[in-house]
Amino acid sequence: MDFQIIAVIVVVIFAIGYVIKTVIRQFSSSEVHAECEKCCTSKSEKKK
Amino acid sequence: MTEPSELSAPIAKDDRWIALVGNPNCGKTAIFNQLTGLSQKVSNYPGVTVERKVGQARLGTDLQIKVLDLPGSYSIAPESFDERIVTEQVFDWIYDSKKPDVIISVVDATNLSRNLFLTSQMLDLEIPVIIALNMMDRVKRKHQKINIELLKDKLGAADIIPMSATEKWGVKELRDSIRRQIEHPTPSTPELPFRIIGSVNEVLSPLAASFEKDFKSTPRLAWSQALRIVAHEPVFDIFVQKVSAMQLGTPEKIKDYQNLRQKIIARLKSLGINAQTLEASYRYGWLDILLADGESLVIDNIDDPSRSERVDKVLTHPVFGPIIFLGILYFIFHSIFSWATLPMNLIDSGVHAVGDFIITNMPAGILKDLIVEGIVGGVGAILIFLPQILILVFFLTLLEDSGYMSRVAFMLDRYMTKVGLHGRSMLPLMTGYACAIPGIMATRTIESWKERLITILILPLMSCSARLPVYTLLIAAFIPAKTVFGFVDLQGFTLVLMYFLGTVTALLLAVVFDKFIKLESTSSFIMEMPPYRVPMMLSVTRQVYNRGKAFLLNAGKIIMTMSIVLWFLVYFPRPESNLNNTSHIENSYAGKVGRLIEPVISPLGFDWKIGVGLLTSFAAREVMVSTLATIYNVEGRGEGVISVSEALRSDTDPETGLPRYGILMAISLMVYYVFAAQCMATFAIVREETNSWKWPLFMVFYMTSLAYLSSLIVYQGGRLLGFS
Repeated sequence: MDFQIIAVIVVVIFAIGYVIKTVIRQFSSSEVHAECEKCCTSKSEKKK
Repeated sequence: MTEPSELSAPIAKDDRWIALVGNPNCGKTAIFNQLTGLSQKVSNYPGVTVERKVGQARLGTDLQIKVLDLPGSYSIAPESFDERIVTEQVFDWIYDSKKPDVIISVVDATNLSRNLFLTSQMLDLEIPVIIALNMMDRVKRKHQKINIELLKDKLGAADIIPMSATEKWGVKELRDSIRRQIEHPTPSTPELPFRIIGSVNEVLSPLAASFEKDFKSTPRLAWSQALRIVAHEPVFDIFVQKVSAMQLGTPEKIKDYQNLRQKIIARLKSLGINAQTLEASYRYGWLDILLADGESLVIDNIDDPSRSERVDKVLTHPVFGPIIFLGILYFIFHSIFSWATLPMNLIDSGVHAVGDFIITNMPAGILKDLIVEGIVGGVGAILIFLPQILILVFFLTLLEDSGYMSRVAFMLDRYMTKVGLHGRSMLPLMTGYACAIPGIMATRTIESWKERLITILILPLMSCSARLPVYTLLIAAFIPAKTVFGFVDLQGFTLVLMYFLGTVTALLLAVVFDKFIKLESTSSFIMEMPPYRVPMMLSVTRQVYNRGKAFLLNAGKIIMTMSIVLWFLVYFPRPESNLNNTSHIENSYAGKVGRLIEPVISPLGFDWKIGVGLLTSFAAREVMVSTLATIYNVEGRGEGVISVSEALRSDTDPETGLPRYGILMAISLMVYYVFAAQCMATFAIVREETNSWKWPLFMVFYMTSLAYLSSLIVYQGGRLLGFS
């Protein structure tokens, strides 16, 4: 099979998996605050 | 980088750890950041921290400790959810073996009496207390002095460290002091610093004796617990909850405590003593005498209110105040358009250059199509809005850090009262202009559950920064860039109108919810007015940087993956015959889904392309823009990265040859986005904060219905009036 087709299949499967994982994480209570910190206030940086 | 989950990591049994406590807006989180190297949000209004956070601090090369940052609280008697977190934590220390090694009580040196109230409660806990005497820069600027040694002796604190988190001095001394206390803790005084005598002593003695006997408390802790539990019903509830959870008392024993408490309250009442103010009377009485000693402290007029008060006379004036506020808002939204043009054009050119580079240098094929049409087209369409979002966050941070936001809350309190809320709801609502999620979390500072619930339900109507790309895309595409009445920029004015529409509707709905939500509500609005401060550029820059980073991360993760999935749905199935590209897209998977919902949304002026955007943007509102970009890029294959704004303007109906979209559709779609609940993360946080599915489902239902009806009225009404 053409390399480009294989690459697209892999990327699309990964993307679908990531979207599903994100939805599940949003509704897992322990992750909600972590998500909101990440996307909204970015309180999590540590200077090294 | 510290993962967010680390901030709520549990403290293990063998960890060395310290806890930071203090009044709201005393600079606690700024000290936490300096101890741990983290960058938690700090600002100039009470209630920025609403949950516990854990970080790590290194004290020399051989000692690493955990640092717990708690929400600001005025005392161990909770008035709101965030204060309850503090009370519950303190009760864990009292009845659990795992106490912090040291408590750092952060005190605003310009307001000693009020701040030391909480400190005095901490001193009862048999844990060394170091007082971080913050904001000493302001005391010094006024050439006033505090006798640190004398104050330490009188309070019985382990140490007092004068410091300024703003000017970043005193932190090293604080670290040294923490280390000394961890290695050689100063023993606490076993007796209360004030005397409870006469009939109050007689009435409270049985309860204090029970605490001493049942929980092996020192007399000091036993008496302070007795005072607190008699004074505050919620504190007694937490006591019962903790003692039951830790199996420290049988149900019968708890019942005995309940009966004893009731008897004491009745007895105090018969003596004409108000149980609720008992603890405050004793503690403030002691602190007042202590601080009134002129030899130890020179504190009179430390906080010269004249400058802030003079400014407040104008900024919170009943007439001029709201006008100035509206003027500031107009300036901000106008600036979003005018200042962002140049950087937006630069980013747009960069995105096109990347697309052209790939088109020129990559061999033709499906992967190239995915990269150009899906990834560069979809993500690039979102990236150009970064400057506008940064400008919005910059101004909102300035308003917060200067102390003006608290004035807005105060100023609007009289109007908020009319809609069943208080000025306290105003700060979370204003936070919602940046993002609904921290706004919803900030509602924890609201004392009444009913008011908190109403604020949560209306907060997503405040136009967040994720709506900004949708608004500005449509405004740039369809609203003429011209000035009306000689000074009103029409594009900026349209943007202001969208924000105004969301805000006014939110307040009107608060009235409706107040009538229909049958919950008890008894709260008053007492908010500390922080002094005006020149915003620290470091803090402002950090906020803007964090927001920009979060936006880019979001674009790099969820928006890119959504664009890839959508590209797949738009690209496939491949046409068997020589259909033109538009017909192929209409028959793609995404096109079929869009066409399926088209009959429902066509009365609003939306076609299947907008329909697909409405569906995908439930992940995040800005995905609407990347969705349209992906569709147009697949449609215009081989022509380079397409400008969505231009594509929307030039899109024509193949049957009629007329423009597919016009100003009426743009306004209808913007109105839809003002009201629609297009945000999965908001849904999740409302479920978390209300601890139920009922309220987030209700929120989605009412917001979607409102969005649909409003768009319907705008579009159909506009058509009746002859617009297109």
